[in-house]
Amino acid sequence: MKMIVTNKEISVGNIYIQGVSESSIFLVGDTKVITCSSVSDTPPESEPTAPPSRKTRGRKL
Amino acid sequence: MNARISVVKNIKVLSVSESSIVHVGDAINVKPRSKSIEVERGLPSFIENEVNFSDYPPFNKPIPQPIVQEDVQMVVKNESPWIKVNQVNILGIADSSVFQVGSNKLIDTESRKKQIHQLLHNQDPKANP
Repeated sequence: MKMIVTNKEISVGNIYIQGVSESSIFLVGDTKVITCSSVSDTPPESEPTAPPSRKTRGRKL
Repeated sequence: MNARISVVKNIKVLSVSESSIVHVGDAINVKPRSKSIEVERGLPSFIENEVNFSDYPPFNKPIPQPIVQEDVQMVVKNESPWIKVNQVNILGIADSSVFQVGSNKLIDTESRKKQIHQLLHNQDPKANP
């Protein structure tokens, strides 16, 4: 497969990031290959995306 | 590879931790690795060398990597040699993450983490961070 990419002029103002974590990349530049791997074993009550457990349901976070 | 030149006028980073990298300039390979066991206890009593990484499966299992099946021939045309950014403001970089201003050939990051909660009965984990 052939792919042609044309990068036009890029000029960005201000970038505000709270966090770059769990093997992530924030790159201002060019690269060829990116591989990001992350293994995490977390108890369910500390995972913010998990549904609320019976213990914390209805409570204010 | 014809890489562009990155220009950032202002950089503000508050914290860089756990095998993370802030790199200004070009690189070839970037391969940070991090392993961590985080223990949260209801009774805050900790002894050194309590556990080994090898006791927990997140540190033993190999991470499967994607297999590239298609042969892609990519041609990149850069109409402007610059990548311009005025300001970058980051609060935290953690767990083998990378913030680079500049170009490279390969980035391969890996982070392995095990979190353990040993709380007292009816203790709200959010109340005791």
